[in-house]
Amino acid sequence: MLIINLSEVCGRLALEGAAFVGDSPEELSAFMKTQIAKWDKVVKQSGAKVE
Amino acid sequence: MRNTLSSALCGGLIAASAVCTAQEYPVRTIRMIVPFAPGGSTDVFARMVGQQIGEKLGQQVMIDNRAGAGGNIGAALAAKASPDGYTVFFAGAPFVINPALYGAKLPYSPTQDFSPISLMAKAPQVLTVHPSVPAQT
Repeated sequence: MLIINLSEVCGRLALEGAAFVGDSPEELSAFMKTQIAKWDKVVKQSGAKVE
Repeated sequence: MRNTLSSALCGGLIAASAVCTAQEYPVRTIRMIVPFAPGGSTDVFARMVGQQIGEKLGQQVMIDNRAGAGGNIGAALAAKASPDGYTVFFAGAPFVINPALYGAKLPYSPTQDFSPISLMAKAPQVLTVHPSVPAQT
């Protein structure tokens, strides 16, 4: 069930240079896993620390 | 990878695991925790989404701004909320970056304490310096 008014949301997002996605729970779950792994690598390689 | 930053998660709608009966839901106000201060781009977007969800479901969606600690304060609060579908969390990029930065000190697990709903948007994140800085890469 898509409950988002796309024209309003997309118009607002465009002002920020962003794009609407609106994917499924399964897709977001998979995306989060790849992002967590990616940023883990980035943080390790850069040696970034929380100040 | 040059475009690493450009594909960062902007706004994902996340709920504490929803265990509720579809016929009755929602019977009261839904709280949407936004881990950023009011007025920022994530907050503005969350409010727009919250309003539309509220109109569709016939219940008010209350935005609860809980800024601080790179989004960890809001996320920790959402993680401890009752898994009844009445607390949703509007995550930003730190939600998937903080596990690497905080490790075991992170007061929640983004994968175990939350049920993903939908990735709402992607936004570019850019890094810039003053033109006088001689950096080339």
